[in-house]
Amino acid sequence: MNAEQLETRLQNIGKREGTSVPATVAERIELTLAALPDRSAQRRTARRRRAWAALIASAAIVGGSIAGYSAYNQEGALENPIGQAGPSSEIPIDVHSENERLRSQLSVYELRESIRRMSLKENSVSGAGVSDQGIHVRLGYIVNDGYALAIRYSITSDQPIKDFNLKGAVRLDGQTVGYVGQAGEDEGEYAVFRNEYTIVSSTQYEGVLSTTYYPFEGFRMQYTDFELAVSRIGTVDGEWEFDVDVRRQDPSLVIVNPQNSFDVSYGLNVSKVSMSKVSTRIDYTFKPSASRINRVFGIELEDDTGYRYGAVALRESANGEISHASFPALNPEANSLLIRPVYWDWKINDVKGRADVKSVPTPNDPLVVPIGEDKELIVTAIERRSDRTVVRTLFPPGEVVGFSLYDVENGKVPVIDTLYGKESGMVFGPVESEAKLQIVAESFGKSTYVPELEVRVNLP
Amino acid sequence: MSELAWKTDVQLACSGDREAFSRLVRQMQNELYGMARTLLHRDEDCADAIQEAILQAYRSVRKLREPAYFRTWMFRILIHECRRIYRKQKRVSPTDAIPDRAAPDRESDLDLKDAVNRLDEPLRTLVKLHYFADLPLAQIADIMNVSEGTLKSRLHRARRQLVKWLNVSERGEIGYEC
Repeated sequence: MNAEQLETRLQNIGKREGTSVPATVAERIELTLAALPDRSAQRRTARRRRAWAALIASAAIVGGSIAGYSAYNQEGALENPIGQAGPSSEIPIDVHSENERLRSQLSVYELRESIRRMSLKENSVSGAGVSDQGIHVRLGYIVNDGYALAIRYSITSDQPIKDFNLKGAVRLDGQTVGYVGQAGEDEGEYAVFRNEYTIVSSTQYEGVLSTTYYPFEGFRMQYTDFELAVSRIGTVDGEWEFDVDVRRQDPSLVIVNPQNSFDVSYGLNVSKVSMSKVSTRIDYTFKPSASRINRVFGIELEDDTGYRYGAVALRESANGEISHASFPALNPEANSLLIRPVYWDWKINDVKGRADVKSVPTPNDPLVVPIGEDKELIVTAIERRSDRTVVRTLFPPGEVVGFSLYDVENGKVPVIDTLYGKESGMVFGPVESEAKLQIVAESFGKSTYVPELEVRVNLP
Repeated sequence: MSELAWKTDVQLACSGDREAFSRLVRQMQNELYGMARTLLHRDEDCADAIQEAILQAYRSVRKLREPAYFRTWMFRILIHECRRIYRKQKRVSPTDAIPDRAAPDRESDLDLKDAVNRLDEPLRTLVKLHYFADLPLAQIADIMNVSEGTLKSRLHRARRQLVKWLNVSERGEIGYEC
């Protein structure tokens, strides 16, 4: 044997070695982790690096996971895993807090009122303020439920405000968890904060920054060092920095059923629904059925008013670990939530539809983007704002359709946000008022609802 | 887990957050087991090594000076623990070293694996990590805290030794120690 043959044999052994964790080892790992002493309740004593402003804010919390779609690429014989569908469920519920204190109907009333009070119209901004370059930024409430954040702010300028773009970073305990404003995806600066604002006067506007994805999922420390570093307001560069100690709050409302499980079968078990002022969380375990085609299993959430909270792809539970699906906060008008299991048959193809935007589409005169022979995307509005471009579409029933916005001369426009609630569509970065736009749409397959597995959760 | 979520959890774990630490370990458990399995024979030993590594890491995670090296640091602790268990095993009955799983290895693989096990440290661990665990030299260099050049030199020595042993073995001039 020579050195070359040895090399080949060594490499071949490596290729044959499997690394799936056997159950006995996985169990030992879980037992070890469960036995670790809990130090998380100890309040962090690290010194604050900056203290431009300080305030103590309360925080609320429920849970969440990264919203979005991720495919399970599975190969195997296609079987219909929906065969054992059970009857439609309307679950009897218990209502209590995480602390096991019994709650009454008052709690959901309080939650609804809290969410209403957080709206732009009904909440004044009276917290700490920072000034730079003649622009004054003041913070209002900061709500942190450990999975989602909402930050109320007000901006006043000595000069009339014409550009409402805001650029900044949010850090928790020194880690940047997301950006506000124009996304720089190439630099990894994903604008995970939605920025909703209203214009109060020519020199003032107010808004709420809120998370759309949750990259800091599970940020559950009792106290969090929250920093907001705004580096640009409109066209003015400057430094408006806040360093705030934020306390996490328990969810306002937790719903479980008496058996501690909404077993909807099909491998999905929903154990808890929790609601805070800033997010709605569904706790679940999930074991997908084997399937030969690319299939994504998920749940959508909507309420009895038709308000849609979006869709979340389910994660496969390892070792029975509970996963969390996060959605936006409860619509205060809702009386019940509907959890809708859905699966997507993921099919990537090269068929893309393109359409130039030659006039402003309206609901009565929409822009239709054909995708192949039998699919289409219907665009009902394109709003060019100074800080964003909003493209509104109709719900594409039964289809998984994605689309991109292109500035013909400058390339792809970065995505900022996804619309939800009563709306459907996407929010992109700003474009020039005269820019020639093009929409490129793509079909990713079909989505199938499973009505017999839907779970309706009545709010108390 | 996204890179950002990973970094956030490392930061949290370093500040004493048990849940974040647990998430990191769960995220790494396939790699941890894969590494332990290349260095030890039995799953029970792998579980012991991983358990001890988790406990040691949790005890000292707050002292980790550079959170970016959490993964490397964790591997280093595990390798240390695997070596300790391996040394202990060498002193007990050889039947204890029978693998848990039905061995799919070909006979020639067994020859080679036995030869690798006869290498002195640090050559033995290096060969196992590089070939059996399929780790790139750059990562092993981080874990073992030596330069890639040193590792290449050691690999060369290890291969030369293995070729020598296996050639002798093929001629039937040497038996196996156990």
